[in-house]
Formats: sequence, C-alpha cells, structure tokens
Amino acid sequence: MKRKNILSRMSYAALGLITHPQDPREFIQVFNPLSSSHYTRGVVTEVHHETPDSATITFTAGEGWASHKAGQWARIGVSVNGRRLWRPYSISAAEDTAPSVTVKARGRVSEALVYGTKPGDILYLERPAGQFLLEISPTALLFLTAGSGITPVMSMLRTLMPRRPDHDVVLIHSSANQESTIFHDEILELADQFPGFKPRFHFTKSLGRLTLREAGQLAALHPDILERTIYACGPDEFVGDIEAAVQEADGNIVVERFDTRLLPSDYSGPGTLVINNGTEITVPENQSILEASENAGTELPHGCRSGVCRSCLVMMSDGAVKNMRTGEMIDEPGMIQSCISRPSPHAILEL
Amino acid sequence: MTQTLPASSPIQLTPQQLDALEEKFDAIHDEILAQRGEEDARYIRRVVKLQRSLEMLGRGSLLFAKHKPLWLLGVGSLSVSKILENMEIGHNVLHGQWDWMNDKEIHSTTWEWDFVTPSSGWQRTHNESHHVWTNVVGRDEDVGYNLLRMDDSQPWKPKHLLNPVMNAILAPGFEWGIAMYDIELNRFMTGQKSKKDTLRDVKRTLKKFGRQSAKDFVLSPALASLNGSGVAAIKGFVAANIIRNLWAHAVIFCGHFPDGVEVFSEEDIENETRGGWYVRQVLGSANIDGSKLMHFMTGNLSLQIEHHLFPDMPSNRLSEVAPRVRKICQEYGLPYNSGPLPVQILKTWRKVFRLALP
Ligand code: FES
Repeated sequence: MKRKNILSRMSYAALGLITHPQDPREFIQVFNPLSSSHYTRGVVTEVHHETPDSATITFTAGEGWASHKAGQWARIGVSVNGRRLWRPYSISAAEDTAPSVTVKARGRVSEALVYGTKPGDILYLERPAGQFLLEISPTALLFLTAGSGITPVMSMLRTLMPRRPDHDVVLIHSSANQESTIFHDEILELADQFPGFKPRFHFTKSLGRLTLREAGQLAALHPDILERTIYACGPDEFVGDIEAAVQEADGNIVVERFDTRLLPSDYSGPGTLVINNGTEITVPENQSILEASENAGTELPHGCRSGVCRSCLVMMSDGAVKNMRTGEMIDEPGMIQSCISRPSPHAILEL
Repeated sequence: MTQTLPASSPIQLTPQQLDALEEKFDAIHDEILAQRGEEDARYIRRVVKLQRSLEMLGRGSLLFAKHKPLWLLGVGSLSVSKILENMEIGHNVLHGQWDWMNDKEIHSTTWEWDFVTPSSGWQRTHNESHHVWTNVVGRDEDVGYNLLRMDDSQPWKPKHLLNPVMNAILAPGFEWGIAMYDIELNRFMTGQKSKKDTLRDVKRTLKKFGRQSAKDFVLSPALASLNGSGVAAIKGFVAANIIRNLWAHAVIFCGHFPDGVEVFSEEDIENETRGGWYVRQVLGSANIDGSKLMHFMTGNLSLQIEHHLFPDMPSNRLSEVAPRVRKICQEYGLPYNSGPLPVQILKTWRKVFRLALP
C-alpha cells in the first residue's frame, strides 16, 4: 500500500514535468473521470428508487476515499444548476461493499440526487466520517429510527446480521406510512432470513407521533429495552426525546441526529460576521463585509472595492451572503467577494 | 454624485443620461448572471476537455516529430490547445468568470495557466490595474505595456522611434513580455512597489519560466530524441509557442489599440460614477467582427467591449449580449469600435508606426 503510494506519487511528479502547470491527473481525467488533483471524485454506477421520493445511489470512488464503517456519513458535492453544493449523507451500504447513499428528496441537493442522477454522473466526495458506529458485541441491540434515520442503521443491519445471524436485534422504525418507508421490504426480508432480527414499524399517519415524553412510554415500547444498547437516529427532536428518556432511565444509548433546519432564503437587515479568530462584527444594513471589517479594524485583501477585480475573495466557511449588486444569495461554503457581499444574516470567514 | 464625461471627450452625456445608461448596463449584467446554470457549466467543462485532448494529441505527435505529417499535426494541435488554454480558458477563469460554479477545478484562486507569467501576478496587473483603470494613462500600464508609445498623450522620447521594432519583437515573444511586465519593475523603480514584493514576483516568474521552458524546450524534446525526433520536436515546440504568442498579441492589441479608441487622464475620471465607468469601457475598447469560431479562438476577447463592461460574465454569453450593448451605444451616441480582424490589425500597426514619431 505504502509502496504503491510512493510509486504513484513519483510517477505523477515525473509526468508533472511535462504537464506543468497542470497536475497530470487533470489530463488523465480525460479518460478516467475519477482522476483529479482537487477532489476525490466518484462515478455513479447505479440509481435505485426506494420510494417515489427517495433513491439509493451507488458509486465507485477514486483516489482519496477510505472505505466506510457501518453508520458513517460522507459529504457529497453535486452540481445543482451548474453550481457545486455539498451535503452530508449517511452511507447505507454494508461495510466492505461498494458505497451507496440513500437520499430522500428534500432540499435542492437531495432533489437533484434523487431525480437528476444517472449512472456515469460524477459525484464529489469527502471521506466517510462520524461516530455513530456499531460495536460488535454480544449485547442485545435496539434501533430506534425515524424517517431517513433508517439509512445508517440499514448499513449496520446489512453488515451485522450476516456476520452474526444469532444476534438479538430489535428495530423500531417510525415513518409516515408504508409507501413512504425506505427499505420497507428489505427490512422484512432480513427478518425472514435472520430470526434474531425483529423489526417493527410505527406509522405515524395512523398511530400518531412516537413520543417518549411521559413516564413509562419507554418501557412500554419494548419489554427489555433498558437491557439493550440503544441506537437512535433521525431528526433532532425525535432523537432528543429518546436520549432524554433513556438517560433518565439509566440506559445505554448512541445517537445520531439530522439537522433539518432550513437556511433563510433572503435577509436584508444588519448581519453578523464571524472571523475564524473569534472576532465578531456587526454589519450595518448598507455596508459590505469589506467596509464593516475595516471599520472594526480587520484588514481584508482588496483592490477596486467595486466588484470588478476580485482581489477581495475570501473563504466563507459557513453561513450565507447576499450580493449587494445583483441580490444573488450564496449559502454554500466557498470564496465570496467581500467588497460587494453582506452577511445574510450571518457569515463565517476563514482568513 | 453628478458627473458628466470629461470635457475633452467627444461624447457629452447629461448626468441623467449617464444614470439611465448605468441602469441599462447593470440590467443586462444582472439578468445574464442570474441565468447562469448547468448549460454554461457544461460548456466550460467541454472546452477544458477539448483543450486537454488537443494538448495530449499535440505533445504526443511531436514526440515523433521526425515524421513530417506528425510534426504538422503536433504543431497544429499544440498551437490550438495553447491558444484555447490561454484565452477561452485561462484568461476567463482567472477573471473569475467561472467562480460561481464553486468548483476548485475551474476557479480563479486555484487556476495556473500554461503561460510564462504566473497567474497571481497577472491577476493583479490585469484584473486590478487594467480592468479598473482601463485606458487611464498612468494608472493602466497596459497602454503600451511600458514599452510602446500607444497614445498621443504619452510624451514622445527618442526611444519611441523603435516602436515598430519593439512591437515586432514583442509579438512572437508575447508571453515573455507579459511576464516581464507583470513584475512591474517600473513601479519598483518609482518606489510604488516594495522590494520584498518585487523580489517575490521575480522569484515566482523565474520559477515558472524555468518549468515552462523545461517542459517545452528540454524535456519533451529529450523524450522525442529517444526515437531520433529531438531536433524536429524542438522546432515544433518553438513553432507552437510562437504561433500562440503571435495570435494572442494580435487579438489583445486589437482590443484596445485600434484607431478611434480613447485614452483618459486621471483628471478625466475624478468622481467617476458607475455609469461613467461603463462609458469609459466602451470608449476604451474595440471588437473584432467574426464568426463563432473566431470568437471561440480569441477566447471571446473579440468581444472586448462586452468583456470590459462585464468582466465577470462567462465568456460564452458575451456574443448574446453584444447586440444589446451595441443598441444602447447607438442610443447614446457612443462609438462602437468594431471591424474585421485584418482591418483592426492594420489600424493597430498604423498607430504603432505613427506614434513612433513625435
Ligand atoms: S475589491 Fe475588487 S472586486 Fe472586490
């Protein structure tokens, strides 16, 4: 592995002498779309629709990717109307198999992935990350999931059950109804195959929301619930409820939450600018990020101050800005023009 | 802020007219920028792919340059690939025209081009000095590149007798000329640029110069010599570089120097509004008429007027806004300097000769 790395680096360096100033990988890209010196790229190999509004996208990843562990997620970049946008997605494939993500069409990026992706398309990737990991132990397990929270758990089930068919695993999955339940049939198939796996569905359209706010509700969910290691995954509120209840009862829980907040689409009042060293600057309504930070004593690079030269590009790592000239909103991490942008309503700069 | 155009200008517009004109140009700019999307992204990716394929074909063929047809194929495709790389891709990417894609593979902050001058230095002299101060003598050094006398307002010195000779030398060595110019030795001499910055730029340029020359004139020919094509390959690489330089020089000179293009003084642009800035871009630039292919091969710099009005507009959109720009110019009596390539080149050279004399 190491040796291969050194060899490939040496051959890139040698090739680079005649591809200068481009990296040789940019030329290789003409034949092999996985090759890039800027990103880890992936190529979609299969798109499988799970429900009308969700799909599992399987891909092959190029250099820079690391094989995932069950329960992890990865940030994926897609071109949405020409612009690269990034979102984190749980990986649904079993460990040691081709990576896949299962996406529900909610928000621009997810919609583009579910409705607009076809085999051969390019994905941009960051390495799998996350601490929602499966400990292979003899303990009995209980998964509590809601909505897309099933995705990382699916990866766990697919990994775990074939390895330990005798495992005692309970899944309680909450979703609107059967049609909208991702992996519904596969879950039942797994249960047929592995008697130790006992799934249960909670359809909120008929049964109402699954809450655990009142005493006794947790115990009523499953008889030996507190003897099991509990994995909970789903929207923030759902996971928060369960976590509180389990902790109160002294149980054992591992959680993963999905942030379902949506960014404000437009904003024109005063904004807040946070610079990575911790400086916080209030940006009055008619001021640019460049002016406001200068007034606060922080020099940013600049030239013309009028949007022409682009010497004022700075990295926005989080938040959103509005272009004061065109009204365009940018709410993705990336380089922004500080002389004609203002926080909308907040932006974090990486200097 | 009210301002009319400089008194010396043949065009006189009222402040209200200038404001109206500003609104009209802004509207075109914002409309097109809001339309950018998948199609545009696909366009630039395809051009990049075409350029890389041509470069591999060209370089590959030149490795067997002792065979005449391969020599020709090599020189042809390498010249075209270098022209595309510098103009339709490099120049435009370095302007940030494709930054909206939020893609490090095609971004003004990560792109390094196949040209002797390093991207960063060029971005400063070009995007900042030239595009902001277009044709303002003393601020925009592109007026003659510190080398030539390109306007009556530049005081004549005896060295300007060599104007045509200098230009004839500059043309085939254009990229080296630009590299020298981007170091801004003149600004260092007058104390406007620190020693530290100048040294940094000299070092960067030398490094790039070394690697660029090694690639085309040493390493690739050395590989070619393995099959006895070494000498033919050197000739081929030199030819491709010269063809690219001649073409780039011609196109770029046609953008600002044909007769009828105006220059300005610093007083002219005191209190300049955005409307005034737009007018200056029109008066200071010139277009080359031509086919789609022509626009493509000039990196759409044949649409110099539109490019100067909207430097951040993706190049593939310039031809579609040109008729609208022309109409606005007509409406306000602004000259829209445009002509076929031979005519514009002729006009440029005529000026080079005329201004050699006092
Ligand atoms: S300072 Fe010139 S574009 Fe922002």
